[in-house]
Amino acid sequence: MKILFYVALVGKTLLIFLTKVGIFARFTWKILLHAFTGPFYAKIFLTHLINIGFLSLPVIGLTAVFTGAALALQIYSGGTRFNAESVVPSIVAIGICRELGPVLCGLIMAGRVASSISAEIGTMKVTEQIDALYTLNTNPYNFLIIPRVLACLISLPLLTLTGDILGILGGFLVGVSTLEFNPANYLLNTVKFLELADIISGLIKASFFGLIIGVLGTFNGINTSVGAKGVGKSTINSVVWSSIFVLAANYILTEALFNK
Amino acid sequence: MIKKTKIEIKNLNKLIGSKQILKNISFKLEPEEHLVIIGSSGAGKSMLVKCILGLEDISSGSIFFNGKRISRSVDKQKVLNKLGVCFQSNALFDSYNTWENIAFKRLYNEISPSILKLKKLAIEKLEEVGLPSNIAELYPSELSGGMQKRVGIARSIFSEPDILIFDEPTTGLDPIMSKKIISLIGKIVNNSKKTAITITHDINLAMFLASKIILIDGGKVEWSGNPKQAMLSKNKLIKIFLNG
Repeated sequence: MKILFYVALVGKTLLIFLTKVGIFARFTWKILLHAFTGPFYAKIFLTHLINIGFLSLPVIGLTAVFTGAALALQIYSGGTRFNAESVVPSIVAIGICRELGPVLCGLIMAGRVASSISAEIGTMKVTEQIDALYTLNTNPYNFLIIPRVLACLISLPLLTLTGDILGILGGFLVGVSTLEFNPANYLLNTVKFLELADIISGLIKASFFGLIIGVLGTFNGINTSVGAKGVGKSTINSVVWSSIFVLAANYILTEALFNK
Repeated sequence: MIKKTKIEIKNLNKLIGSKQILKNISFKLEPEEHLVIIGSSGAGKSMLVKCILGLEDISSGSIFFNGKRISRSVDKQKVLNKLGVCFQSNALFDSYNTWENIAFKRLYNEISPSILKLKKLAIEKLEEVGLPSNIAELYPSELSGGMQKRVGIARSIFSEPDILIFDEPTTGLDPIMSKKIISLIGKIVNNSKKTAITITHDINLAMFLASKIILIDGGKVEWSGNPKQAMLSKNKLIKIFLNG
């Protein structure tokens, strides 16, 4: 009898999981469908591009500068063990462009943007504002979801590129001021070993992360259950799942882009 | 010219999981009629309206608008264009100011809307529901409950819909404001000779506004008739509603 109980439990969990997958698949299908059928609200999209992209610049910039600076110190300290201090500029640049830039940007945006998207749409759901949109001949997919997803998709690579530059700058400042590197040599070594593919691969990753954050933020928001508790739950879910998916996608993309 | 029945519901059923929320609901709403759906909390009144609006899928049965059966999402959107809805929670958009809320439908659905013209029209609607024009730039959070309700009503009548739907229009309002809102709805519906549906648990509101009343209990139509028939009815639930 105990075995039957566990079989039933596994079955029930599997059913719940498959139902969620089905709901998510239907949601993404609707995004695609409405993205191509329109209408496209350009003004709303630009507002979100500013909110999601431009207003995230300070937090991304500060994180990148400090990460680049810390990375330079760490590589220098590790490099001295086998007389390889000179690799600091190139390793900082490659490490930030390929890995740290997009991942940190993805995780910060999962916290800052996925949560706010989810809370905003979730509140609209529980206060009947989404029902009101339907009755006002405005499809919520076109009005609320697609502009946000698109803004995330475009913002993340741009923020990552900014983060890359500022991260390298952070490493440069520490390298020149604390580690006594020659500024010209530092910059020369940064450029010498950094390939365009390193930057592009990071931006490709960032685009995927943007898509994950936008889709999961809006998905959790629009599926918010009743009340303030429901809004809180969907906000937590959007941050947790966005972060997990960003890290998982990072591994898969790294495997696909670099493991040749 | 024979006027077509505005809304006809035939054997409508709604199930959520294994629970039946609405059972075999059928009624007709003729042009210029004001149907008031009454019932206690949880009776299924709001769910019925959500089914009519197409916001909830029905499990079985049919809904007809102007004699045409509604089935596909395209049909539903066409129907929604002819409806003006005032929600129980008002459902005003927090990030838009009062006039933008009122003119929302045209502001975001016309290719190149004339902002000045729409603002002027929105202010006219504000005055029509008894609000001063100087609140046009205020946000919903800066308005009182009664004002928000009036803005919700102004939004529902803005695009001159065929049918008006008011979901619990007096919920959360004090008795004085409730009376004002009831008479405002009566004035709007009578002056414009619109077909209307009002959902409420307030029998006084029903008796004042309705040309037809439907009492819903446990998801099914328990009683239907006009206010005069309600006064004379021997139905237990109607009596409870009337006598408190």
